[in-house]
Amino acid sequence: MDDVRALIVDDDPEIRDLLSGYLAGYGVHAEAVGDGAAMRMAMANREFHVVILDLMLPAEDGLSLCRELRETGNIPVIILTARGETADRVLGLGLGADDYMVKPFEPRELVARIETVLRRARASEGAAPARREIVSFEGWSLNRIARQLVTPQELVVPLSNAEFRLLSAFIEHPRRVLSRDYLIDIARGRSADVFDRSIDLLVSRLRQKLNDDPKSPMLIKTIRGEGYMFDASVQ
Amino acid sequence: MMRRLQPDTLFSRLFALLLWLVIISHASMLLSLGTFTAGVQFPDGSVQVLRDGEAVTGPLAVVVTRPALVTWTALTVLWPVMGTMLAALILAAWFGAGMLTSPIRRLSEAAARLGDNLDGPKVAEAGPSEARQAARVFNRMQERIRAQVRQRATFLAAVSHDLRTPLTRIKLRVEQVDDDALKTKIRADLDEMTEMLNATLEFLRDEADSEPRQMLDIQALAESLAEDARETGRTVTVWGGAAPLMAQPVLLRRCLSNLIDNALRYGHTARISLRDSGAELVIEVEDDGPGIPEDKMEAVFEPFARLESSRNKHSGGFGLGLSVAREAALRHDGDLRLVNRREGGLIARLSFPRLR
Repeated sequence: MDDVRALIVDDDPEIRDLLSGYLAGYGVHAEAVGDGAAMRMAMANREFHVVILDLMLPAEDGLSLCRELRETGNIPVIILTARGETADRVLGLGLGADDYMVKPFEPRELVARIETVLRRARASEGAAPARREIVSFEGWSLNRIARQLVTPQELVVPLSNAEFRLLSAFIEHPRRVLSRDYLIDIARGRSADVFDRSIDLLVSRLRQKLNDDPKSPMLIKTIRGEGYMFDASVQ
Repeated sequence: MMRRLQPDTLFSRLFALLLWLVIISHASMLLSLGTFTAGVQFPDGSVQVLRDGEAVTGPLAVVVTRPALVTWTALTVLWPVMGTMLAALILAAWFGAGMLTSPIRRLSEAAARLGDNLDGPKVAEAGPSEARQAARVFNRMQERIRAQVRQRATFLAAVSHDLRTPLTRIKLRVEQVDDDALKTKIRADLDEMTEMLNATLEFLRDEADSEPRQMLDIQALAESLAEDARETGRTVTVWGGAAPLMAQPVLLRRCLSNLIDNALRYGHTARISLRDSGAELVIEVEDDGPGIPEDKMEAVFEPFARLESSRNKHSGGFGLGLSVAREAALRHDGDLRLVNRREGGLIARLSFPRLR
């Protein structure tokens, strides 16, 4: 990552130091502050690309800061927290956080999430991505917390992590051609060995789960020579 | 009602006691209504009534005449009255005994409820003062047990929670270690600690109650979990097929995922097989690990159970995975059993009856 500026908001001074030091190794210039007031001051002085926000802060808690960031702008927010409860996750994503990591997190994973969030922000160019807990399309719905797909007949169809990431990417960019490279990147997640061919396999598995006829797909259409397009209106 | 009448119940004892008391008291009352009269009958058939202190001699027979009220004729005349009275007494004894035993019955019902559910309703503090007192004491005990359990859970959650910050620091500090071998080892230790933390918090969180039941695609569940494991480089295969099941999807996912994790922790590969007879759905997770000694089959369901064998050389024990998995199976009216394979390895067998 080149010249990415991140703002870390965490009340633990050691984590602030350690994390900024770690991110620097990956080309992320991080500034670290301890509370909401300092966050506002830092943001008034400089421009940042991403905010890494701890939920448990002394004066104002992270959730209200997250809401504030979302109301005043479109900067990507990754929530870091010691609380892993589903309710908190729903709340965090409901308030417009882009991602959510539970402490103790894998530092390398945080770097990967920052990359994903930035790439997504660039791809959507101001258009607010679907951040709600439950999104629906053509009678189907996807619960982004439980990672479950629900058919129009109300049958819950569990998705694998890779399928979930792929479907999420499609849902965030409906009716737009997504290149194979972009999708490979999304589907890869932690595992490094997702090859060219396996993205087609993944798409065909996802089609199967969506009851989408591979010969004449209605939902995930193949755009020859370019990639795939999700042809549905997303609510 | 028949249970009440078994000879060893408090009810039947009280009932019998009351019944005896009223019958004896009434009988003695009846008998005392008339005084006994004694007389002698001479061989010629004449009878002489004896007065106080009077004596007669010669061949004679002693007769005792009953007072007028209790002669046999009197009894037959009085029969309807006596019958009604007896019935009333039996009824009174029945309800009396019921009334006296009801506080005890309420208490024992409450105690049984307490065993199943700590958050059950309180016992009504009603009835005679001893019963009210007992109910009060019982309610206080329930409150105290509940507070203690809650306090322990809160305490454990707080400890687990507060460990997250120092663990995060260590994870970041490890990145500064230059020795790669050391780094890998510390990371593995950290991962193990994190896993224990998450398992503990997940166990205490208990979100299971609130999750609604939905039709769940079991086949897709097994395949997606196998897929996730393959993404991390492990070998997990799925065999057979199954129809959807009415279930709590997140809970059942956690259950199956715990079994797969366990299989991969102690073996190299996991094989999920689905069998669906229409009357019962069976999901088996087989591994090629060392299995579990027969006498430890139940023990491993205890939270953080440890075995002496080589099975736990990778980690401190079984953690909460099996406890959580069995709890989830039971919530679905099913069961989880462990069986050693003859050719080595363990089978975790989940079975769910299909309710019609």
